[in-house]
Amino acid sequence: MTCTHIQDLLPLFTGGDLSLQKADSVRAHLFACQDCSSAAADYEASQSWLSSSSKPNFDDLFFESLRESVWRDIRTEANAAPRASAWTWLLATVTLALLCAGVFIARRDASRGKGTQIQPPIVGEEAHRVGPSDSSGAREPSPKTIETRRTRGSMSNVKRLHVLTTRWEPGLPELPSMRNHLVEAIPLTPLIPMTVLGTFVLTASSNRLPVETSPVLRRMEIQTSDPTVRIIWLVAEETPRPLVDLDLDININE
Amino acid sequence: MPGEATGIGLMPQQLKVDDETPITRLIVRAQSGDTTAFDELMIAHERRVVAIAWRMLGNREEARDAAQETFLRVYRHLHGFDSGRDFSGWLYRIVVNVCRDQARKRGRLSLTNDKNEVSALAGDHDVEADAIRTQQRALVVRALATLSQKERAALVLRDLEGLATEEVARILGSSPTTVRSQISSARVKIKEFRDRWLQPGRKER
Repeated sequence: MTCTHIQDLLPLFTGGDLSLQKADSVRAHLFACQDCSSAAADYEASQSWLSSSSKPNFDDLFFESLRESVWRDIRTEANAAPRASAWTWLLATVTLALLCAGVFIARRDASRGKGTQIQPPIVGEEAHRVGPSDSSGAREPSPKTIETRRTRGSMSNVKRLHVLTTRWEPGLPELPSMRNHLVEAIPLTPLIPMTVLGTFVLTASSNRLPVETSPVLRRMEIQTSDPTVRIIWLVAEETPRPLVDLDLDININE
Repeated sequence: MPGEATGIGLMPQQLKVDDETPITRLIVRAQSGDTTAFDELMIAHERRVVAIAWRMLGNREEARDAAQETFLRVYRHLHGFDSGRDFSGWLYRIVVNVCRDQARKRGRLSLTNDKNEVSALAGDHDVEADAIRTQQRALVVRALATLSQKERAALVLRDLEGLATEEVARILGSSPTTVRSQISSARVKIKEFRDRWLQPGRKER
């Protein structure tokens, strides 16, 4: 090994960080080389100086104060944790309350729509004619064609529809006489209040039609003068009829 | 003082501690919520932690802050520590990380004299000897300031704390080869600093 190589290894040799084999090689060289031996002594003195001069000077009061500071921080963290939990609980409670309120409101609005299903009335054998009673060509209504469903609900939130036909065309499907009668109004979108969209489904189909009659379910959409109000009319008919446009004046009174 | 020669490239084994050691018993008690046990753990390790922090940071107050943060982290994470493992090694890792974070926030190592240390020595009747020691400590701080953060950490743990190279590597999260390289470089710089300041007339090699 050359002196250059040995002197590169001296920092590790003096600290005992060489392998046994390499340490022996260095030791053998140092035994024979004065310069490298002197350099090794310098490194050892440097390490010794570092070890002896780097002892910090801290008294017992310093350490006592250190421990007190640590315990103070620990207590502060421990006290802060429950407060954070209280806020978390409060936030969770408020969030839950808001969710419950939202669900309640949504269900209430949905039931409002169903609440308009009140009354019923026109069923069965009553003759339902719409339009001028003296119109020629008015067909005799079939007593089984139209039947409204009986529903229950609150009277306070019902929209009363008085459908007054101003024109009657022959071949029209039969419509119940709406005068002074309430019809079923089901909002198409149960979660949205009727006052918002004003879209209703007036169902005249019956759940009690005999199976053997195989009625044709006919759907009519009636756009009123109010752009937010559209009436969809479902009619169960034994005999299909041609559809024509209707011109209806509809007053919605609350 | 380090005196053992180790094989190059050997990876350290996980050190296992005898379950009967007093430190292990303290750890188990502290983990179960015994505050007295944790206090005793602090007393057993505080001088070493402060010494490392002071050598890493070069400043009394910063060393105190680093030691405080170290023990706080130990308290927070003690419940997850396996009492069969080497507590000292774990503690060293924490204090080195804390010092590294603190140094990173502060910037370069402070080279100013530690006035608090000077005033702490006022009560000692051997003023001259204390003054010399204070001056030597200041020089050591300056010498350590010539090292990089990694070189300083490796040198402090190896030469001043007396840990084996493999353990230093494990604490620092690097390989023994890297640690040896860092230690070698650090020792050269310390020697050059000492030659420059303490033996200025001596010819450089």
